[in-house]
Amino acid sequence: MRAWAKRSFKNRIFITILLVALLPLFLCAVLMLQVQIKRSEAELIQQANQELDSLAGVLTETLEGIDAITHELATSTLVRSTLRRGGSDSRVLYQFLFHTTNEYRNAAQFDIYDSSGFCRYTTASDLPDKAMELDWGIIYAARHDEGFVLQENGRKGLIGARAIRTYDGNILGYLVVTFWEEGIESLFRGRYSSVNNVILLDPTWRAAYYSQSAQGLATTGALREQLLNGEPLTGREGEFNFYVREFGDDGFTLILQQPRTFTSAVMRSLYSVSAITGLLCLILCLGCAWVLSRHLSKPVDELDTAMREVEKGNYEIQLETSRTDEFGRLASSFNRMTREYLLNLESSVQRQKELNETQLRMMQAQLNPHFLYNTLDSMKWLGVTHGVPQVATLATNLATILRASISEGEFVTLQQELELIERYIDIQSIRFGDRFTCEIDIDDKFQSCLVPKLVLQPLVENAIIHGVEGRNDGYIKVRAEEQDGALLLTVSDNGRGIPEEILEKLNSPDGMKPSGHLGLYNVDRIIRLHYGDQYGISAESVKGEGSRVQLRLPIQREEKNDAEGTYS
Amino acid sequence: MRLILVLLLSLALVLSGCGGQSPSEFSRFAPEESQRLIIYTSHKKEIYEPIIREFEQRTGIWVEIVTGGTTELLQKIASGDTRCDLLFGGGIDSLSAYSDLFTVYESPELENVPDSMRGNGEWTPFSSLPIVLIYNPKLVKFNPPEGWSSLLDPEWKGKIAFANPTVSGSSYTALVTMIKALEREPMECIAEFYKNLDGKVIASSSEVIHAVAQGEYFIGVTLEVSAIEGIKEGYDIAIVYPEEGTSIVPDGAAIVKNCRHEESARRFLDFILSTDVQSRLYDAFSRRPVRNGIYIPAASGLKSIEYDIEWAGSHHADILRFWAELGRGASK
Amino acid sequence: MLKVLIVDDEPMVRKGIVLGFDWAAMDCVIVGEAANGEEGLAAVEAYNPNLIITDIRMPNMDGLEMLRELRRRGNRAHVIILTAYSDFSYARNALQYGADDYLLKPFHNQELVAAINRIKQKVQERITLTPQDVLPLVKGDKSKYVLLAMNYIAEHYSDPGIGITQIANSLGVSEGHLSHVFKKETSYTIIGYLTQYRIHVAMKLLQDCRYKIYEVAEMVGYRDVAYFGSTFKKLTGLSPSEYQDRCM
Repeated sequence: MRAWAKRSFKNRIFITILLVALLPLFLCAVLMLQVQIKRSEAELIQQANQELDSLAGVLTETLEGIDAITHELATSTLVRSTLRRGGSDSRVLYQFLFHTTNEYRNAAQFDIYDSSGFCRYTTASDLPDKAMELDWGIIYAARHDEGFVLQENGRKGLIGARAIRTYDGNILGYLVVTFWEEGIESLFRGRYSSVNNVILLDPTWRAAYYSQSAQGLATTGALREQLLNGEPLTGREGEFNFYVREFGDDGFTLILQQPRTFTSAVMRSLYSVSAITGLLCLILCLGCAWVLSRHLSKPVDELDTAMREVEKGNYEIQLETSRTDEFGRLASSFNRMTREYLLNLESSVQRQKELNETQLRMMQAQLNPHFLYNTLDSMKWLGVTHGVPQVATLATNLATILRASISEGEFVTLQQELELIERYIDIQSIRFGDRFTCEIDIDDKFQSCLVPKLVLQPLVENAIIHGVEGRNDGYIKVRAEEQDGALLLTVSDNGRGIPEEILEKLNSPDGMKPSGHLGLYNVDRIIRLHYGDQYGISAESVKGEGSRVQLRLPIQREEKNDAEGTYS
Repeated sequence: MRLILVLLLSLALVLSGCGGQSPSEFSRFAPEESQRLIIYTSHKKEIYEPIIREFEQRTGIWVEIVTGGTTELLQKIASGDTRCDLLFGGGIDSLSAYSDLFTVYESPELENVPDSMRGNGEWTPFSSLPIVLIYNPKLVKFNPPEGWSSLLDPEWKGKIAFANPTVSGSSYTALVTMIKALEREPMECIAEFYKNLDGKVIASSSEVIHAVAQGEYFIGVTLEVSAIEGIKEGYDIAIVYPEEGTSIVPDGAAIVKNCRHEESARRFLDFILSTDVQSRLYDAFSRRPVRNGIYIPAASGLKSIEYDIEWAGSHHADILRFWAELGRGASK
Repeated sequence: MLKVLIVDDEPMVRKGIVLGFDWAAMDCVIVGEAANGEEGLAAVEAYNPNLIITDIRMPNMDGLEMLRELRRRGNRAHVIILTAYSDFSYARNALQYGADDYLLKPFHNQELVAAINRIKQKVQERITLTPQDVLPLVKGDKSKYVLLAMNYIAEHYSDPGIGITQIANSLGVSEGHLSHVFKKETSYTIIGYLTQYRIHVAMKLLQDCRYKIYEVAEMVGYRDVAYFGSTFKKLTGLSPSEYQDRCM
């Protein structure tokens, strides 16, 4: 994914927005959930503790009260003497009994047993007919204890007893207090919420009371086992929290069974709801992030695209924007830069052209004319005075050609150019004798066409030097024709032909490269500089038979004025 | 970027994972080791529960109970179950057969127990249990069985309710008693008896009463306690004390070697031999106490013969193997 | 008869001018030489020439100064200035001071002759046709093709479209060969001979004052009158109108 993000700015923004949207959402959800759960659990715990407090409180209070009562009863002279006497008909005793136990009779039943284990007096409606076992259970415990003892009553509540003794310690009888389930229930009523359950356990966690007796044994058995095994107290089935509280001195324990609000079922549904909402949010966020990222990165894209256009060479591309922010500034900077670049490019081209022209002029002006002319003049006179007329011709013609090449003006008429060619040929004829002839056969109508100065001379020179060199019958012809509105000047010779590679260079459409043949290169360059690339040099050649070098120029005529040449 | 993600995720997990009670919260309510005892018992609930409950109330020791058949529990302990502190129940012949599992304890209360009921200390007697014959008075009107010889009487072929001695300790005791009472060669006697069963062997001893009362079988072999309890429950059966005499083999309890709560186990053994418990055995559980001086109504015709516990113990495996072979042979 | 004074600081130049021309044929006589402006002035006093041919750049007094002085003194001799400067301003200065003409050094002798002819024409004297004007129409010992070519030219000179290709074709010979042999024997190129022939005829026609210049041009095969004019001047030294004026 990192690579995907790296690929595009758009994707980066997308990821960022997604994370920015999702993470807080996620955090919030989780936090809220946790906080809620914790809070309700805390509340539940508090409530449970409160209920336990209340329950333990009432139990402790009751037991203390009963302890006091039984003590009172057990030590009362009345009770003792009545027991000693025997019988079960003492009205006074009953009065005393009822009076003393007034407070607690709704919770428990009070019985007085004699020393054989038979019940003599009771606060219940009927005397229990079964005798208590003396060497077992509660009576056994009471006999071996000085005070009030408490045991679980076969899972049907609590039973307690206190031995009634003589001053010497002999047992006269027993006070038995029986807490039936209803009694305990009445004690607990209203002290705990109806969804909860209360369990009373004896010192070895055998159940004495369970407010939901139907399930009693299974749950308490499970709790006992879990405690012994060091496992968390979870009961048998269902999901509950158990709160354990010891109370009193007898080692009894209260357990409050509270149904968990956040049962696994509840949690599951919570989580599934969260998951669904989460998924919806995710989809929403994905959508928004996508749209936003596209929207935000649009100007970046545009700039990117424009830049690539520029790289391809399209400098005229401009960005349209009406923004005034950073992107707006970027766009206008971009526009400015490309415009400036374009301008620079054009001016650079312009400068180059100027440079070329200047270089051209420099080339032309590099010779010191006076010195040249004067020397040539001297040469001429020497020739004349010493009777060597060819020397005079050479010198004079050379001077003419020189004058032409450094004179001002870039263009001359074809007539003037041909004059120059003739001077040139005069010189070459002296040098090469009869080895070549040159016919300049050009129709009147072309004579007034304007051509760049000295444009034909290199061609003729080539024809003489490279073409007909070595021949005795060299024949060079200069002619002109019109073709498609252009002037074609052709210099043909019957020489040995132009080598292949030079022919290629001459005919290359982009213009000659400067390599050897500087003369032809210059001609080609000048024509192209003046007129453009569709004009210039071309050539044909057949090896051993001859060559034709052609100049292509646009037809331009000078204004008709006095036909005075500049050369004469 | 990745790091941040990881951090956030783990934070979330931590938050979500919190909650729930930790078990150690309640460990303060749990008893210490010295206040614990784990008893494996083959007794019925009506017997073990009040005794254990009283023990708990008197001592404050937390008892955990695991129930099962005698042989089953013995094998469990033998195969390496180390939880058990005390085995409560099972005939002492069975117990002595596995005596190497148990540790020796001579309870001080044994002073009050006759020598015939005592062993070498690897087991402690609890109650004595004569083996009796029962019959269905509706089906057997005239010639009720009189003793062990009746069991070999072809008249009763296929009509004898006898529990599988492989499972029932009391059945095994009956076999040994029969052999002794009839003074027969053991395997011969067993084989003959097996033949007389005609392939019908009852799965467990507890079903014998029921089987006879229902009329599936005419006569049966069981413990006196089961018979009396059966009658109390209303089953129509009659008890016959074998005329040859019968074994009154006590059942008992034993402390497992290297158990965790040996002290508590000893206290329990002392308790079951105490007067308080022993004096309730007959009235509450129809069992004969082993302790001296406890009054129980006499049973007419009850003649005791000596039961060679050693012999019973050492031949336990052979006899049971032989029994199994007989079983396979009979099915051919 | 023109009296000519040569003024130039270089002796070789003076010598060359004196010896390099057939002054007698041009009806001129060299009356003196000077090496600088001062000497020149003195020579003018002494010999009173009609025509002074002078260099500009000389020590002690240059040509322009000398000319200025001459004019100040009221001397009206014709002056031809020789200069290496192609700078037009110099030439203009010279013309301002009454120079008739100026020649750029080194010059073809023909150019000096033409300048002298122009001056002669001004003084209404007869123009001498330079030897170059005379065409070697001598057929004599020319080879066959050369003669044929010459005849062809003589017959077709008035055709504006005539060119070397036609001539060679009509003779059934290659251009190159024809050109070569023609040049060898006549020292003219074919086109050069054609041009000469045309101008020669034009001269004759112009002498007959009936024809206008453009008619003459057309008759000798030129379509472009201006071109005809410049060609005529190049060969004769005079423009057609000047030449025609002469004969009126």
